[in-house]
Amino acid sequence: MKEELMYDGITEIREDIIERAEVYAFPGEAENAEGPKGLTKKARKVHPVWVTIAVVAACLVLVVASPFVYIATRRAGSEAPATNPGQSLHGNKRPGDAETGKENPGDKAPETSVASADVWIYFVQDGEVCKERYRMNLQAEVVFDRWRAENGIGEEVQLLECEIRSKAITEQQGKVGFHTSGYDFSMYLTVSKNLESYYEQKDEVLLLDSLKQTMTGYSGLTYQEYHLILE
Amino acid sequence: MDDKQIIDLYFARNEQAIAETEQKYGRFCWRIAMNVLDVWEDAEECVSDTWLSTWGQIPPTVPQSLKAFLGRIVRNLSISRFRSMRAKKRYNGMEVLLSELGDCVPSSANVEQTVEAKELSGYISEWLDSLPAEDCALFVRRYWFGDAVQDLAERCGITGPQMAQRMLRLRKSLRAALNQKGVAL
Repeated sequence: MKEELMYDGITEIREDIIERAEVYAFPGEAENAEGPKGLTKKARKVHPVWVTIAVVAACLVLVVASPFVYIATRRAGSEAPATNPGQSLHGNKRPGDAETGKENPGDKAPETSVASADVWIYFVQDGEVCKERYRMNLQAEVVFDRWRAENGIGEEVQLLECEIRSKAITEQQGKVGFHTSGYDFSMYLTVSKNLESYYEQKDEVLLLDSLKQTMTGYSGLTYQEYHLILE
Repeated sequence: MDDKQIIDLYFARNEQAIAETEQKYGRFCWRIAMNVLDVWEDAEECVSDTWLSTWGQIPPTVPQSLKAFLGRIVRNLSISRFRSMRAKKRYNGMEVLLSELGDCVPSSANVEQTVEAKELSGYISEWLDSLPAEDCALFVRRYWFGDAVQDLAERCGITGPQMAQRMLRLRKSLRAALNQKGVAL
């Protein structure tokens, strides 16, 4: 195989080149070098305690409030006429939903109040991942549509499902709902398989990285796991 | 013990040479084998075979750099193992390395000569000499030592995808250099 011949060719390169590469000090190593033994250790940014507390508190509020918002939006959805039955809290369509034709992503689910905020959209440009801030509804589909447009990806590539799982449990006992917060969030993003056809045009690694950063970044949650499923 | 003394022990057929080599370069050899094969037991076996092979080659060979000499043996043993066992086992490290090296293979459109590994290494060395020191070190660390892209990214203080992109540019540059020479594999 030609690749194996290339491997063999690299094996036989001059010894002085190998030795130079072995002792070469990369810039990141010099910055992060610590300790008397010359061991390299990545410098860790230490946040003040109040930042950590504020982040944990914000997450708790978000987790505790989300089921109530969900129930409220469901109730509003069932009472209001001409609602969009397939739309979840995050605005993503589920498989089997009726096609509603082209519409402005920002106009989706007008009957429910969806918070809008500045969202970083990551995209691949000139061989690197860049980002741009846009004000938009915090809906997975809206964010995905913008990511798709920024990366020059056609509308045939669809967001099929965006599921956020946590270990939170909500139980209904009579008229009272009890909620146990969960801290470990996992995002399961299902995108149509034809995204793969853009891997040649855009660098696959960078493209998927930009998708991951965009979709896991807009909600303000910290995800322990991220799974991309192409169907 | 310095390399010269270790080589003298080989020439004196003193088995202490193997122990000294293992003590000084055991970790280095194991790291290369592990990077390439990614299977603990096979990497261990390759390193053991390296000591045997070194014992068989010195004398008469007098290595200029014992470290590079040992590294070559480990790399050669690793690819031999990959070739003989590929049907039975999947060696992730080697699979990834070879798939990346596919980008460096020159096109056969402008062929003037078909080269063997030795000649090819001459062209690669020449190309490496023409690179900035950091690019040269990155290429060698990735494709000779088998270091992971993420490790290299951390060393350079950049992200993994950025490093992958940089590696892609280097591989394309090597392919262009070989194409320019009219070399085919």
